[in-house]
Amino acid sequence: MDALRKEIRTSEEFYNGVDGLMDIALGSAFLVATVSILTGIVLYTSWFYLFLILIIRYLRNRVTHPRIGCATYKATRENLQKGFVLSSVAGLVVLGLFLTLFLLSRNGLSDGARRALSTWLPVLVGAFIAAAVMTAGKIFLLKRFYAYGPLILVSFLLIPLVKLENTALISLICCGLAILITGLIVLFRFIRSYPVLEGGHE
Amino acid sequence: MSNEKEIDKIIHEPARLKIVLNLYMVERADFVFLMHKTGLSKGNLSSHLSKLEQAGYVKIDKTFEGKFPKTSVSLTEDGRSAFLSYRETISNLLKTERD
Repeated sequence: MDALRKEIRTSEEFYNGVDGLMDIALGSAFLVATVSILTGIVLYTSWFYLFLILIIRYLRNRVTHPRIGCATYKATRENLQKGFVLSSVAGLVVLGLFLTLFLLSRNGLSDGARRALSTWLPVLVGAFIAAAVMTAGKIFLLKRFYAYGPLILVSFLLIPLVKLENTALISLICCGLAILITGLIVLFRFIRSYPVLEGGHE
Repeated sequence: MSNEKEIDKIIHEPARLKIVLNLYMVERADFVFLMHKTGLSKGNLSSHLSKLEQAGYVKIDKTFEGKFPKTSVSLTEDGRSAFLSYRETISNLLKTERD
């Protein structure tokens, strides 16, 4: 890679990940999704995601921009557009796959296969979420997201493997908390390392 | 040292070189981003940006975000090509010196 392009990439990686806000967003979203799905209160928590977007934008303006400023990187903007198309296609594929599995489980599967499917379905869901998180890491150049992918997969893998009461709830909550706490630590270190610049509102 | 006369004096100044390099990396940046990246004070940065604007290398937009003024800076096409040509000139010069 050309030295200048490498420098641009390094600068972009730093800028996108230095404040930990994306990690906080991912961790919170994961936690709320886990709790709402496992406790069956999905409808009541769906407003949370809108609130999350607003709060992250607010924190970017109040915490990040006065410290390191605001910049638009060409690659991030282009990747975002590609990512939107990619995630729409991936969403449709996943929806189609789950619909097929649902129809198969109702009609064309033996009891054994149906049991195996219901046991390993969480792992399949986890694999999709992990892939989505790692793709987001590639789109936004967030290296930490490459570690969150396997972490999420492992937390879903524990569900069929550990036969304890509330394994799913505990495992997924621990995973969400780990991501959230990582984000909070990064944000705390960012605030300590980068003071608000004089004239930071210019 | 025949390449010396080809060196763009506007970009060659260290502070302005830092500004142009950082602007080359992004599509658009605000004043604070440039202060953070270049380590320049508010006054210094303003004066160098004015020189770059006069040369037609940068475009400066001033807007308001709520109560606060926001200065947004981007490199113009002329600025981009001037930076690339400066980079090439310096590389060639260093190569010649090494050979």
